[in-house]
Amino acid sequence: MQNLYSSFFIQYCRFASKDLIATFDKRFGRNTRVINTFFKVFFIINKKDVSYKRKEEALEQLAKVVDSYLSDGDVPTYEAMYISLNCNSKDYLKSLQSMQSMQTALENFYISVADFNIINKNKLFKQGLIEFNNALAHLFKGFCTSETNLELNISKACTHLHRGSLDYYKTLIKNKESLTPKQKETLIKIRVYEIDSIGLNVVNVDKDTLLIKYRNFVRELYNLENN
Amino acid sequence: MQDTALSKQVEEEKFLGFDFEIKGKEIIAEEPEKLIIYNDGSGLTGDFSEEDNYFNDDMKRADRELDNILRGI
Repeated sequence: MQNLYSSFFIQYCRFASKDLIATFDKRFGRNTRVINTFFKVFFIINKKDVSYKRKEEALEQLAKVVDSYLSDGDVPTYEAMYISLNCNSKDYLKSLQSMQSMQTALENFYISVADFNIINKNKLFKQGLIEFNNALAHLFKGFCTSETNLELNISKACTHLHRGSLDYYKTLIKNKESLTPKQKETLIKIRVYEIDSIGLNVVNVDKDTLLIKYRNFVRELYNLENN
Repeated sequence: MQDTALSKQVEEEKFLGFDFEIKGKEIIAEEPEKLIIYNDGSGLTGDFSEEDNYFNDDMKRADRELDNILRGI
C-alpha cells in the first residue's frame, strides 16, 4: 500500500512533467485550476481528523484531474521527464519531525486563502497558487528524491507559503478602493514592521508577526471578524 | 536493514496529518448565500468557472467531489 504522501507526490510528478513545458507555452501557461485541486487535496491529506478512507478518496479525485490534464493533447507531455519515485528511501523519522515545522505555515496559508475566498468568491488568485505550487515543488524534491536536502526544502517550502499568505492579503488591500486616514496610518506601521522583520524566521509565527498584522488589518478593512 | 526500514514505515503510518487549528469563525453576512463557514475547510471550496484555464467536465466533476469532501470534514 502506498502511503498518502507518496500517492500525492506521484500525481504531482505527473502534473509537473507537463506543467514544466506548458508554463513556457504562451497558448497555455500555468494551469492554476489544477494547482487549486492539488491545494484542496493537500489540505485533506494533511488534516489529522479526516479518515484515511476520505483521504484516499481525495487522492482518487486528484488522479482523475491529473489524468484529464495529461490527456489534453494540445500540450505535449514529455514522458522522458517522468521521475521514478521511491519515497521509502527517505529517513521518515527525520522527515516527520521536519514536517511538524510546516504546520504553522500551512495553517496560515489556508486561513489566508479562506479569507480571500470569502471576500472574492469564485476567483482564483493566481500568484498565491503559484507560491503554493513552488512550495509543493520543494516538498516533492525533498521527499521524493534522494539528492536534495529535505530540511532545506521544507524550510524553503515554508517561505513560499508565507510569501503566498502575504500576497493574498496584500492583493485584498490593493483591491480596496480607498482607505481612511486611520487605516492608512495602520498600513504604514505594518509596512515599517515588514521592513524591520526582513530576514526573520518565518516558521515560528505568533500573534505579533507580520502575517497576523496583515490578516487583522484586512479583516477589519472588509468587516470580517478577527479570531 | 529490513527491520529498520520496516520500523520507519510503521512510524510513518502513525503520522496521520496535522492537528490543524483553522480558527476562522462562521462569517455571517446579511445575505444567507454569503454565509461561508471556513473553520471546517469549506472556505477552500468554490466554483472557479470564470477562470480560463483548461478544465473539462471530468475535472469539474472530480473537483466538485473534493468540495464535497471538504464540506464534510
